[in-house]
Amino acid sequence: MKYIGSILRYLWALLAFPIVLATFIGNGYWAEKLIAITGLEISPWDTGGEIVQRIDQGHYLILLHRPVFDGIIWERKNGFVQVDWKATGEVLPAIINDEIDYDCDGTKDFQIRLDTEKNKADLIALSPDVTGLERVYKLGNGRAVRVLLKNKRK
Amino acid sequence: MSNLELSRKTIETATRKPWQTFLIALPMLLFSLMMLTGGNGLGEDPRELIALLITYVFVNTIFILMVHTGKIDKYRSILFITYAVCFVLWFIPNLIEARGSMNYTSEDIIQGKIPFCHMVTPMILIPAVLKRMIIFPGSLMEGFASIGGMLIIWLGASLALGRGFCSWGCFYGGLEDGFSRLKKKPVLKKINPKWRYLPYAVLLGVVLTSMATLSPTYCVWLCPFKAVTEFEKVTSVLVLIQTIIFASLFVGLVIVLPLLTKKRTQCSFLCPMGAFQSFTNKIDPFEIRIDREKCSNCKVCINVCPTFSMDEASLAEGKANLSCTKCGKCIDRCPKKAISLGVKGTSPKCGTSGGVRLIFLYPAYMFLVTFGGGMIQDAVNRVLLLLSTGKFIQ
Repeated sequence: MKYIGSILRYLWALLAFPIVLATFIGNGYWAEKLIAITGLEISPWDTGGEIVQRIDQGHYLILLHRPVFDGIIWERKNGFVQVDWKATGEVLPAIINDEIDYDCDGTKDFQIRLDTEKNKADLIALSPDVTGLERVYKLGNGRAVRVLLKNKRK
Repeated sequence: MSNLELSRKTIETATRKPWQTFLIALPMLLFSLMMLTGGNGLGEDPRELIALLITYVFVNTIFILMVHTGKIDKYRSILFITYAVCFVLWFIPNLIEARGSMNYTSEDIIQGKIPFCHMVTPMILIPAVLKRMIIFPGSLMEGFASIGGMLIIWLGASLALGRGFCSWGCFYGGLEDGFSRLKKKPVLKKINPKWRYLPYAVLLGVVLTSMATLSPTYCVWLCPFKAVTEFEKVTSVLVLIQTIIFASLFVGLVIVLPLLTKKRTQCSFLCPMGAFQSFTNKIDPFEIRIDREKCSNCKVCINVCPTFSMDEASLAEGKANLSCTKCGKCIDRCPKKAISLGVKGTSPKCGTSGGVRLIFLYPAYMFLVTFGGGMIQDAVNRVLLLLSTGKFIQ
């Protein structure tokens, strides 16, 4: 039994070389499999969460992300919703003024006035859940903001 | 002394005949060519060809010397340090070409443009298991240093080498390894060995705080290697404090303390990835063994071990501690040749340590050459660019 055990352990040691080769040669394949099998995704706190609404405003598109309150076990008390503006032409209008209903309940929750030249935004909260605004992000010829929210369910 | 012991001693101390060395190294000569060219054949750019040739000759000369002389760390360290230096010479110019500076911005974070680094691995695992969520602003599959690709490399390294990754794969380790070799004798000799438990505390701390904040707290607050890779642009007092912390840790743990102690102090006292990787030493097939009959208790191994992985207890037990990075320094330096590489769970009399050494060297060296070879090539290419055009960045 001890002899068989030793043979198996030597086999495991001999496998180390093919494991290293497979790690690098098949890296893309294994990585794809790993992501597909585990269903891993980048945290919405980094990506802003999935886009749930696309609103065409003529010269530009509004991409509304889902509100992010994700936690490891429970949802968090505070989160944000990300709003992206994408130019349909070459550039965004100099001033953008939009009212957003982030929870799709038929009532506007906040109003944003975005100055795309100065990269500044002003927020008017129309709902008590809206608490503030992070900075304006410049994404290529688009812009994004994160509006800070209180979690209604908490 | 029995015949078996005599023959083992002969294998361990004598250099091989040239034809034996050539035959043993031949597969590495072929595999390294395949890995360095990416299996795509030779390119047409003469500068790239020269860089490939220099890298190929360099890495294989080191391997041949390792096989021929039986010394591991003496030659490994040359490639490992070169790899770390070339990593910096490769990463920073690439970053500057892509982004214009070493700084990343909030825009880079929300667009997932931060290259993934193996140091993040222990912090992302619990959120990944519980919520299928990677708490790092990188790319899952696309682009440079994708999360999926790096996780596979970490898995492969863990299965094949365990914490050997830290001496054969980590592109930061060579920096402090290099600084730790600059002075002949250590200035600080007495270091309380209890400090070596600190990385486990750091590991626990960063895993818990990363779970709580859903961000990799070690990267944000502590990682000293941001000094030679990328860091957030200072736009607030908070980021300024973070910058002072990582810069101080880099100077202290990667440059000054390794110089004074001749130890890899960042790996030994701070690195949570190293602490985490220690546990993978339980699954890989190799271990460092001490023959208690040959050991004269001279404690050279304890003094030279760069990661405090040898102590009185490990000598008594006949094997290195869990934190061993399999660098091979103790094997090279033991005056009695009492230390060798072994396969776990097998009898020391089963097979020769020279044979096991080769079974370990092949995957370990292949890992180092494949992970580091591209970076060395690119760095050589940039040096050639500098010499021919006066420009280091394209």
